[in-house]
Amino acid sequence: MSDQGPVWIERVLMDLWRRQRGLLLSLLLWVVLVSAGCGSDSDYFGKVLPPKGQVLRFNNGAEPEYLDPQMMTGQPDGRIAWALFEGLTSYDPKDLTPLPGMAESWEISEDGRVYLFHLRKNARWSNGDPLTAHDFVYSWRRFLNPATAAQYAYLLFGVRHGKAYCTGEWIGRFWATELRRRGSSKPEVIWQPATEASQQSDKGDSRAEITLSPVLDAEEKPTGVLRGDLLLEVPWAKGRLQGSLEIAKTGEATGSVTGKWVLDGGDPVSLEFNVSGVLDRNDREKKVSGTIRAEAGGLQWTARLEARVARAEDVGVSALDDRTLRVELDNPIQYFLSLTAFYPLSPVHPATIEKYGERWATPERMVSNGAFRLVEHSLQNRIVMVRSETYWDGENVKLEKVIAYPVELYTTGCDLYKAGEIDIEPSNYIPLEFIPRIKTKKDYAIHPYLGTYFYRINVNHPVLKDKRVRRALAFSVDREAMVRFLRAGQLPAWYFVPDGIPRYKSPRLLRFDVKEAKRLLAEAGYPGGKGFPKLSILYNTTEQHKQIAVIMQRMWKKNLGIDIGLKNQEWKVYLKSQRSLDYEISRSGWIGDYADPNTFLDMFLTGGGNNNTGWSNRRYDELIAMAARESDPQRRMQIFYEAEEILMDELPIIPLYIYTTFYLKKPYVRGYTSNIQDVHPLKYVWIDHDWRAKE
Amino acid sequence: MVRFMIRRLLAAIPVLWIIVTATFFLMRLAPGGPFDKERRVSPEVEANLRTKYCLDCPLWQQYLTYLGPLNLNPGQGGVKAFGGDGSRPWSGILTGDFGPSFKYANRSVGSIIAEGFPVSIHLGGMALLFAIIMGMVPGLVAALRQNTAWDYGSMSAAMLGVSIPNFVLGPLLVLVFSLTLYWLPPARWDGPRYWILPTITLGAIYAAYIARLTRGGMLEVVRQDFVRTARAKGLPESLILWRHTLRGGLLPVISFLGPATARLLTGSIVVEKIFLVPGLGRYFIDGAINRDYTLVLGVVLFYSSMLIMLNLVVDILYGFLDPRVTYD
Repeated sequence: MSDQGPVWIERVLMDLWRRQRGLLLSLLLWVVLVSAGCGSDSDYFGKVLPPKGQVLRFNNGAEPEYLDPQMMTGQPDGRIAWALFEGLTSYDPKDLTPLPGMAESWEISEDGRVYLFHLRKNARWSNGDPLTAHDFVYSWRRFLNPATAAQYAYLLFGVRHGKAYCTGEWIGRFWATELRRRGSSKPEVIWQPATEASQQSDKGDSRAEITLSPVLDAEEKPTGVLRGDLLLEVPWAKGRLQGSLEIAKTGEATGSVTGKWVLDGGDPVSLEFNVSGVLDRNDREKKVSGTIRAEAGGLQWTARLEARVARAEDVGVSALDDRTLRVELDNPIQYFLSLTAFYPLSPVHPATIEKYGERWATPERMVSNGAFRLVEHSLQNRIVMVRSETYWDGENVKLEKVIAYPVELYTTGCDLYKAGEIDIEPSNYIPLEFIPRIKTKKDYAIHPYLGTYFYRINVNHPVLKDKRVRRALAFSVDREAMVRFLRAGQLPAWYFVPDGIPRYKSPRLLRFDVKEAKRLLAEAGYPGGKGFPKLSILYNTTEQHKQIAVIMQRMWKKNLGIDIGLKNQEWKVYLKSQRSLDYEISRSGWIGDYADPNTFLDMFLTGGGNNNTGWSNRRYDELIAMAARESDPQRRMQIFYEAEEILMDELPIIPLYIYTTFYLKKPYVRGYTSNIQDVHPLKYVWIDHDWRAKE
Repeated sequence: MVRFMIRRLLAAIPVLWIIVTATFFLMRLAPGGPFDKERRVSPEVEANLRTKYCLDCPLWQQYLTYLGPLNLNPGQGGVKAFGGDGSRPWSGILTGDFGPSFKYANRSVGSIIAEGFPVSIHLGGMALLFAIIMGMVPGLVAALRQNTAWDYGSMSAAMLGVSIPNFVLGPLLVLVFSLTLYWLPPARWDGPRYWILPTITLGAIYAAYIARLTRGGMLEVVRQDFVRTARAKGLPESLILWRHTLRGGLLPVISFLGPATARLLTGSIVVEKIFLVPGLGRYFIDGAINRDYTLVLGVVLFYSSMLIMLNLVVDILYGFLDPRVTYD
């Protein structure tokens, strides 16, 4: 084709302009007028015309990976799960305190370890079947079943033998046989259990439990080396014995304990352990038995041990009758009633799953127990749910229909919202650039969120292992300036655990102090940043992480005089680098699973799966373990406070800001309240067609 | 002709095999796996997942099981990933089983393609129609009225069309027609009103190409001897156009339409994401990002087969349009 350059285009355009000027001008004027006429209420972002009837349409952010509550993990999954299913408890939409759900009431034992849930008489499945305690037993066992491979399974690891069952650990049981005084020629028996049976009960003072995990050798065969935690409560001492037990022996095993054992403030104890037989992770029938002998302060205690791989029926959840569920925990869990409201712990309909296996969660097959039931699921298109007629609180559910759209692009979501095609654009699905334009609108809402944005530091790095360097990096960050840039109401993170957790207030040890930061850096051998090696910030490739990294880079350059590089990686590569500590400083974020400091702080236990910093602190580990055993809520929070002080003093991480939830919600949507976990039970939501009258 | 088709189809088999093999191993070379998430899956659960999806078997075994048709270790839980319930002696793509998706675990790759492809055909077909009409008509007009305002106008529009990428055109159309004029919905896939903007966005660039190809092809043929002969014989202009020029002039368009149709019918991630169209296109990118091994393999295989088929169709069409082409 002949290329005549831009000259002829200009000629054509000028020609058009000369001849059709009137037409073009009137067209332009008309467009402006029409758009001004259609552009609705400027108090709101876009159209504010409610849909006909009680229908809620919202952007769900993405296609859920599953519609099976035990398998679901992400937020898009959760929003659907909470509409379709309900656990023993449910959330109060304002502050998320647990309310009765499938259970109408519950009793908690004095030590906080045993829960009795009383199910509702009118608890029913969407097909009309009564919902019983047995269904919960089935569902929770399914949740922990290794074959299910549920990612959230660890949430039930605190239930007795929950972890052992899920991970194929060996559980053992001791039956104390007798306690003797040693030394005399004829050992004196000073205590003997009345019957063996009584020793199996929970109240027995010689109750002992052992959890052993098989250690595999290079060929991945169990060698019979046992390693595990031993928890003994022996009659001659009130303390507990805890530590790791190792019995090295291959093949037909008899072995003994290595290591020293000290009671809490008591005498050293020596232990002898004999066990025969080798257990196999995949054979849950096989048993091994042996004896254990302990000696302390002239006393000798013997017990018989039987061990096997944990089975479903070992898990501490049982149905006393159709309407009573008994749950036994290893240690008191303060937030357990909040956990039971979390969707992975919702019940599933056993008969449906037995019939269809993994692919039961389709509109034709699914039987659910929540306020809504599934009627349509079209992949990457929409999920349609309607009010369930069998839900126990059905008369208080106002919405007749809920449609969720999996819109991934923030702009498309906002477009749909503005054009009035959806009623809610969920949290954080708004481009930051939009915020200055919509923050004055009445349908824009902001609320603090249970999440922290922070930088991980690789403490194995020769320079970064110096605590003074880490402190210098943390003290030279102007967090106020950072949140001003972010615009969506984020809060500067002067600590790691976000605000809003009941009864907990984080220690505020961080501050913006350039002088101190410079002093620390000089003390570490880099006065004015001289000689400081070029480190880099690792982040996964997105615009926002990049912007933040650039800000950090500038702040550190300006305040400390050091050069920090940027390194971006594709998501999965980034995850891998972070996990293998193949970084210096790495961008991170954490959203709490439940409103308790534990969900933030147990991440940095030595060797924890999400630690990813190489940091390890013995006192910190002890505190977190102590908190897990503590039954007094007030003391427990003090322990967490102390632990967070250590974390914020050592600084293997640099907290930057506390997340907020910011979302768009049409003014006619009622009952959709903000809270720190961004959970919005749809049973309370309704469409107010007379909203204007109440403005 | 039949021999030609059989030969071509047979030649496609090694091509597809190479594509599957290369994709399979390239995917595994990428760091990270389908179960890596920000919140790390506990090692025990990850072990359970790996067993479930046979990721702990040796790679060659996974590969052979994926290909099929023999299930190498029936009865083991791991083979579930590639052979239905794992108990069947047959498995893999040779038995028509593409395995389950890693990310959307309660769906098989086959059902994801089956659900997305009709939508992609629908949108792609409309876009194709739009592209052919909006491309050929101005292209023909431009060729027949060379060097007039018609020619310049349509060719500058085509130039614009070629150079505006769809991720710019889409939002622009939305801005004007959805958010300013409130005429058309900005996204979703719920009925004819919802189809218009994605069709235009997807088809525009193809229309522009077709316009330019039509004009170029026509101009080339007009100068050929056989057209001059026809004119010298005194045939009417319309007959010359329909019987002689058009057939030759459209050859470049036809050869462009083959791969273009394959691309249009298998969807476009950009258009699908902007307009929330539940088609196939997104899985090429999303599948790779999620390391959804089976899904990526499934859509790649599907796309390659479509491409091979449509290229064959193009070659056959050539035979009809161009008397110089024979198949022996």
